Amino acid sequence: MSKKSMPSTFVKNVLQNGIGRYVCQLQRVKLTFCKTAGTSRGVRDFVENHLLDFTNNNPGVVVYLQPKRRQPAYLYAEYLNGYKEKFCIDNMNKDQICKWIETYRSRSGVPIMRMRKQWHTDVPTVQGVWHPFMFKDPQINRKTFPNEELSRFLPSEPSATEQVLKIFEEQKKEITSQGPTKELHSKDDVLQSK
Amino acid sequence: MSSGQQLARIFQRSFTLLSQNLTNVNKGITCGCRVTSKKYQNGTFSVNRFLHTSTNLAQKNGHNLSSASDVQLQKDNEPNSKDLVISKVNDTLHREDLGRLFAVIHVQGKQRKVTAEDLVVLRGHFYPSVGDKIRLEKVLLVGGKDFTLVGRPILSRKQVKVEATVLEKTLSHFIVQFDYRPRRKHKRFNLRRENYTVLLINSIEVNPVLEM
Repeated sequence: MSKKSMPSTFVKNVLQNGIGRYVCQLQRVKLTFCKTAGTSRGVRDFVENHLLDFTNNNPGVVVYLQPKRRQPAYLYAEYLNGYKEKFCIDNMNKDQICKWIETYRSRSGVPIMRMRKQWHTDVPTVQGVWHPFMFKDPQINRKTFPNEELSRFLPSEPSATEQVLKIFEEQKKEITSQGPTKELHSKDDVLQSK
Repeated sequence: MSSGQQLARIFQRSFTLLSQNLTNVNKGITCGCRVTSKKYQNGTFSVNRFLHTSTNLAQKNGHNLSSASDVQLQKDNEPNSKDLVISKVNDTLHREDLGRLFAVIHVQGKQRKVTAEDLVVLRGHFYPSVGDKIRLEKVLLVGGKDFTLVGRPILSRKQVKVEATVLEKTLSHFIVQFDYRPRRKHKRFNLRRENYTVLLINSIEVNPVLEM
């Protein structure tokens, strides 16, 4: 199945959970199993060994046990937002059932779908969206076009003339620090002395 | 030249100016806007938020189009300009209400920009169980309306505190893994699910800088 054809959703916070305190969203669990069938063996082991631990650790979750003769074992989970899910736990051992019940406990009751974004915010920006004129002088809004100044080519590197002038200035500084032996008036003099 | 081309040139020009601006601001950070407490380096200030408050110095020098880089260079030449910026940031930090803050946190190998009451989905194994309140310690950047604190690479634990709640630990939808090689009689179809963890950012707090 292609990605686009699958139904998608965004990550959401059910009933603003966790902003004050965290509330477990799982409300009810129902386990149906057979008392004699081999396929329900894992559920019976779970009920004998781990169910009381689960109920003690999660007093907010109601657990119902419903024996059904010669039926496959199922887990029904019901959430605070009204979402219900049915999950087949036939032929599972007790460790697998422990793991799946823990998975259902830690869910928030939002149906599982393809998530389009891994992030949700109500405030996308604090400092404002950047644009090319963010820290610019507002004076540039008042230009009239065509404008020669703005159409000027901006070189990324200094030109040859500027480089020669820079060398001239440096050499002039050196010579003045050593003490002038000869007066230098132009860059041609510097190049000759070099 | 048509007006469209003109506009394109202006935009290109402003992008180049921005890159100059960024390099200059980075230089500004490295040369003096470092903030340290007694033992730990707390972070650096970015000064670009305050450039728009300065007067248009470049225009006085004869440039019609002033760029932020020019202003920055001029400010560097002024005495105590960095101290001015730092004191302004400190004043905002000492205010009681900083407004809404945002932070860039590093969690599970990824950097996320978050603010309070955001939801962040982490993929893969995540140890804390559902309902746990955790503190995200790797904070790369914290900002408000008028200031930004940038860590080198992360901010001190004393300076910033980002708290989160583990809202949900769930599984992804079934992800299809299909492999097929033509003319090889090779075809594999697998379905895979990943662990997802949803974090809710509860609060972002910034302590004022105690010592410069």
